[in-house]
Amino acid sequence: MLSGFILGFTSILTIKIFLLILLGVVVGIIFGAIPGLSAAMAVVLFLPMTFGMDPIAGMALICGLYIGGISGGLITAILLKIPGTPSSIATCFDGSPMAARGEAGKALGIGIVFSFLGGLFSFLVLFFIAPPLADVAIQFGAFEYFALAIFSLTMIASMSGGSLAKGLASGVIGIVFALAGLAPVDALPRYTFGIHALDAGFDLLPVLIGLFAITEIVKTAEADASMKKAVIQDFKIKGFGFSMKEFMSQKVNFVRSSLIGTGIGILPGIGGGTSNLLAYMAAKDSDKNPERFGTGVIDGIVASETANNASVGGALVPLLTLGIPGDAVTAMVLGAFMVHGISPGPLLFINNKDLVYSIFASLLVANVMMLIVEFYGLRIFVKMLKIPKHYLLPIIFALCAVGAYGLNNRVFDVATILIFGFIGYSMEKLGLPLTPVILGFILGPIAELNLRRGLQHTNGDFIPFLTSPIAAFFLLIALYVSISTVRKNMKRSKEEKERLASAISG
Amino acid sequence: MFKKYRDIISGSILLLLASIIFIESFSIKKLDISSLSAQFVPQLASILLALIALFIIYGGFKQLKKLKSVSITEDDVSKKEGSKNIFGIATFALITLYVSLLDTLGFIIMTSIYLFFQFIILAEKEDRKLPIFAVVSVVVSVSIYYIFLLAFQLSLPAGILG
Repeated sequence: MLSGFILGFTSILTIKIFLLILLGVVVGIIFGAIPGLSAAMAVVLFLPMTFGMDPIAGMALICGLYIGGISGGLITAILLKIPGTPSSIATCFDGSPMAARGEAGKALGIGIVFSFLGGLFSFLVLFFIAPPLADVAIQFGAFEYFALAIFSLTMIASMSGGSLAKGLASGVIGIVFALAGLAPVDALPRYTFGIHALDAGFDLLPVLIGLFAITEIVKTAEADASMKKAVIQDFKIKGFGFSMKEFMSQKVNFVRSSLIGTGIGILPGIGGGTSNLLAYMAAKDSDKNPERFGTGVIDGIVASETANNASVGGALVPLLTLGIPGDAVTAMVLGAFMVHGISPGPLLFINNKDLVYSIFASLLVANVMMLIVEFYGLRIFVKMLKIPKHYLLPIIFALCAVGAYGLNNRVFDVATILIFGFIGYSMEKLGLPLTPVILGFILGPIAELNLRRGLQHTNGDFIPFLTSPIAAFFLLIALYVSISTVRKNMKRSKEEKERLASAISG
Repeated sequence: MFKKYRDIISGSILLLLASIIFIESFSIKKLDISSLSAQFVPQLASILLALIALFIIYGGFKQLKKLKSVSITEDDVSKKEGSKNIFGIATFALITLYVSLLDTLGFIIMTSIYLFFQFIILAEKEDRKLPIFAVVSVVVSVSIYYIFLLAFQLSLPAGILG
């Protein structure tokens, strides 16, 4: 472990890589801060620039973007009352009342420091559990991977906050889009409709760019230019902006929020966007006087900002050890690995140990840089919020097109982002969530490949899938998750019915 | 208007998608050597999707009934949304044009054209400064082209300029 870290740090100890991480952090914070732009989009835009770099340098840049992007949202959440990214929604609750009282500096200081600490906590978890987990995962065969993919797919159901049916529908849509191309095992073409460019199926990255970046651009084009009317609060910070006593009072809150953030990050499909709200609710529920939440207490900011950054390390656990992304950003990171011909998974810890530890080291460095840059660059970042959207979004689209084109040097991939942009836009209009699509798109083929590969081994017998203890374990949890989600959903719709009934009669 | 029927519409589209996937699955070849054919997962997925779609449609009709009894008027909201939708449609049209002509006209020309018109679509009326838009479009396109060519070894389509 220690030798791994020495290896990791020595491989990133160059001025070039430090500059790349710095660039990543700065751009990430800007993307996080500007509403409508997100960490995922920042990663997408910078991917084409990593094509020509070696993987260590490329991943260093991406680590910076990821950390900066998740943290940057707090600036807008506090100063503009608009969350810069979904990861900072709960930061608004107490951040904006504090800013309104003239305590913006304190709110920002708390947010930045606890972003740093939350990230640090989750990276330590990542460093300690990823390598042993990879050791276990290396023994996984077709049965276990099939079970794992099924388990992750059932998580779609439990995470689709709104309607269970719509979340599931989106997941299946993802599976369906991944069908195009050559079928696993026997390599028979299907759903290519005679288009040869489709023989290898849709590439993950254009699909991601289309669904997330293009959809977001068009959505913002339609939205009101609310940024114009928004008043940016002024702020002053002395030191970190808060006292040691205030800091120490957040110990329990910090640990709880870190655990929630990291745990949510590890689960497939949900990340910072969910964990900040959950941590906020947990902090509120366990407080002696929950009413003070929302009036501008530091506890709320601590919970939200600790949890969202703690999700970063968590989300990287399944990605690095199993090749299964934890959220939209890690799905992009998965795409970045693929561009470099590396497939994340347990073998990564054997074949590319230097890369794994260089990523660990980059995360630590990026986290420290985030702390420094966000503190000292606050005024500059606030100025960036004033760049007109009508310049920003089209240029971002042009860069997205470059990214898609650069994958295979063909316009077909640019067309793919258009198609998936349109699909994503239509789905948003129809109320279908987008994240499950990505999970289905990535997990569907994993499930099918391993199901068919396993059945080939056993000559069509499914029993061995159930007698492998690990596979059986995952399938059992999958079953439990599905049943409890359906029950929870039924209970909720019943409650809603009763509420509606009483509202009408009352 | 649209909001009311949203679930019924989305369910129907999903049902259509499921039927296409199901029907198309029969044209996938079958090999004797594999115990589970390449048709299995597509068929399973399409059946699952069809069931979910029916469920969503059912929910949509139930919602509609409920709405009728409460009778909420949302015409104002949809009218406002309609005018905003034009920006979305115009953007998609522009991107389609961009993709179809990218190879022929090349990155620099096509991106300049795209940026110029997209700036116009997105900017508020009082912000539409056409000369500045034109300059920014060209400068940005040329810079992206050369930055990627020189710094990142990525050559974008040169088109008629190449």
